Amino acid sequence: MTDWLYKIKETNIEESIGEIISSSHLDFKFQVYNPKRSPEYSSIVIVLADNILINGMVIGIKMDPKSSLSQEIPSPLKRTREQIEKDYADIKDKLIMTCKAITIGYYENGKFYQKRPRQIPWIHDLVYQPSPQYIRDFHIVNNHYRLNYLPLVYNSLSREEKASFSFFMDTFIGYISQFFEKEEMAKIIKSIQESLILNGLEYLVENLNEIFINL
Amino acid sequence: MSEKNEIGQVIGASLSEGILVQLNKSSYVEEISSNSLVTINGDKRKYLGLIANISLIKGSQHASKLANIESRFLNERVKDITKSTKELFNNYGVFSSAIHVIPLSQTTKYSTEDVDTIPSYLSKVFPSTKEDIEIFYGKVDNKINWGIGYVKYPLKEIEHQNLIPINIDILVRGSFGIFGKAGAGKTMLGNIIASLIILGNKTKSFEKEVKLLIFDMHSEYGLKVKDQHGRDYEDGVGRIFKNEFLILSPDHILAEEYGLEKFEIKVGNISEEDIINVKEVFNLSDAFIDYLFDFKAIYNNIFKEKAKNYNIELKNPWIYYLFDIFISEEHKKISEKTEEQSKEKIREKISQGALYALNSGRSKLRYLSKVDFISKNPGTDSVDKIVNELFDGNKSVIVSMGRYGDDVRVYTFIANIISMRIWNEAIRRIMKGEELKYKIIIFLEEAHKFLSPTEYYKNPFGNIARELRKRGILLCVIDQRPSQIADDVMAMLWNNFVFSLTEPKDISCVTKGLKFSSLFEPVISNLKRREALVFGEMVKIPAVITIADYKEMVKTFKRIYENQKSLVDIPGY
Repeated sequence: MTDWLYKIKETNIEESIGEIISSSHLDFKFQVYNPKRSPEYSSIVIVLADNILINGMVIGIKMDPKSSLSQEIPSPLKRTREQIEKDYADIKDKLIMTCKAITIGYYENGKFYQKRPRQIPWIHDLVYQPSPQYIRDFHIVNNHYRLNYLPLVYNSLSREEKASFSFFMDTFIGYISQFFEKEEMAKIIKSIQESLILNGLEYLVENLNEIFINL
Repeated sequence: MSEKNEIGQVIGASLSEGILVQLNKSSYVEEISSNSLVTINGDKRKYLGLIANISLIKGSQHASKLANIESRFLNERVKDITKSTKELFNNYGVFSSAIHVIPLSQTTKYSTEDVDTIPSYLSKVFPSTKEDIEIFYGKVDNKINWGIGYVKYPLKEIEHQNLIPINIDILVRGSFGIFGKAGAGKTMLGNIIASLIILGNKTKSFEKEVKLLIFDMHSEYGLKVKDQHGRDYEDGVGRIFKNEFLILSPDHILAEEYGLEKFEIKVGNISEEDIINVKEVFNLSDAFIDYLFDFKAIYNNIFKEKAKNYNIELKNPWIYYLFDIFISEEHKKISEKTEEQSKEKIREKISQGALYALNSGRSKLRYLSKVDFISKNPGTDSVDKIVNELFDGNKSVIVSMGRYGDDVRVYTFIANIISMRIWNEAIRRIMKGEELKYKIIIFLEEAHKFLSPTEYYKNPFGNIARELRKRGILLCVIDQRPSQIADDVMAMLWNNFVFSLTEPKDISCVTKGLKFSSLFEPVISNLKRREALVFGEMVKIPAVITIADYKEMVKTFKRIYENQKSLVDIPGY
């Protein structure tokens, strides 16, 4: 099996998509270097946190003007993204994209864990986008398909976010299904069901089923 | 007790409402039988319980949503996901099912006793094993404790044949009841009990020999027991023990066909009390009954006068007139003359209305003049023979009704006449200070016709039930509608066998004598054919049993009877 810590450490630093700007045991925020390489909502990102890889699920993406001190509201430019890029070459430096991710697991000593790590990411730790194989390895433990971190995500959300959790699940299932075959997805779904039930979230199972059916 | 047999754990209990046991697997609801026995291993003692109800207690909202999804998307994928979700919900307790258990008994340090405690939370629940059943109910010994039926094992797919012993000696110490709707198995059980009593006599199991008088409405005691389709199934008790029974039938065609003794009532032996006893079934008017003795006096006086010149002697000519039966042409001639004058006198002395009542009553009773068994000849009759046999003879008696089985008027008439004479004979002997030689148990089908609240206090069976229990004359009350039997009679039944009943009134009536009576109500309505709730002194603890296969029992009875060998050696059947 791939030594993912080694592999990430060996990866060209240019491959990182951002770095941590704040973190806690529950979640972390990172600034994206290039909005064009921003992770998708509900996707998984990796933080290289010294000797472990911390996996987070992006639950929020935000873009702001950089000059926040002046409380300046960006002036309308009436151009397409391409035109802006052409006409304002430094625009990238004036915009900040930040993402919020919830910690959903980690990789340590050659093993994946779908639970909170004992350490938190440090500010400036680099954030990477995982490869499809990384995603698969994260979800296949001892040949068993496992995805039991959704309750962790759910319980970290605000009341308003919880209320619309089925929409979140819809996006997430769409995302995760890119990495698995149909039959594998059925197993993943079963694992999600199991974890929801075990965490008293059985009322989300029917929504999940419907999402899966419509996939 | 093996952990793998555990079916659930106690999650609630109260002495008044029973014990709630969550099943280890929600899907157990399809495997667990109601009315079966479970053993609950409490921390300090064992409990025996009866599964009274099974229910899905949690998850209906989720089930409804799943059903919704499945109905909206009709494809295999949906079926698969619903199936796997159902499995998960079952396994993880989102769907959860429970059994409602009636606590029946608990262990003490050395024995068992009525429950006065409840098992603690999470006490483990197991199907009762043979050993448990023996701890709580005792062992079958085929001497006094007979296994007439098996308790149900809670898990459907597993065969267990655990017999519940019924103490036949205790059974015959008091009146008992067999209740249940038609086709439930009352008659087979009646035959089994009668057989056990006969065997009990043979093996000297009773302090006093027990004689049986069986009013056999459908000839299933005297001839063949029928299956649920009405076909002959197996010998009735009268045929199993041919030498132990005198079998009579008022249906003389049947009697000839099967070599039974013809049942005969001599009309002259019928009393006015016998007429009064059938007032309801013959729809006799109050006026007719009120003036019955006046009619008799008037008629008999005139008849006596008229008969002076003839060679005719009748004890009570009035009764012949009432039934329109005459022993000779001469008798008929005198009767015609007497009738004219009697009517005149009745009109004069009583009223025209009384005359109408007489005419109407006679026309109703005339029905009996057409039956086989009313004989015009004087002398002793079958009723005397029956009474003699029961009090002094060697045999028990079956009156197989044959084609009169569904004729309520005939059945009631015969049963009342016989019981009246038994009552009279018993009282005569008691008044003389004699102790009755035998116990007599009267098997009475359609008992409510004799023991209803309006009938029982004036009916000979009511008198027998009330007054003669201590003298050893008892009733086996057999009926479909126990609620129509007087409460006083029901309270006299020491032991009961209750098959399935559907009417709530009947159910609550038979459960009155039970502790936790309301908890037993669903038990009775859920009984299947051949299943009976048995309770009373004869069985330590109430139990639901499936009555053993009748054919097998008959074989065993015949073998025991014929071999006359030690019953200890007879294996369970």
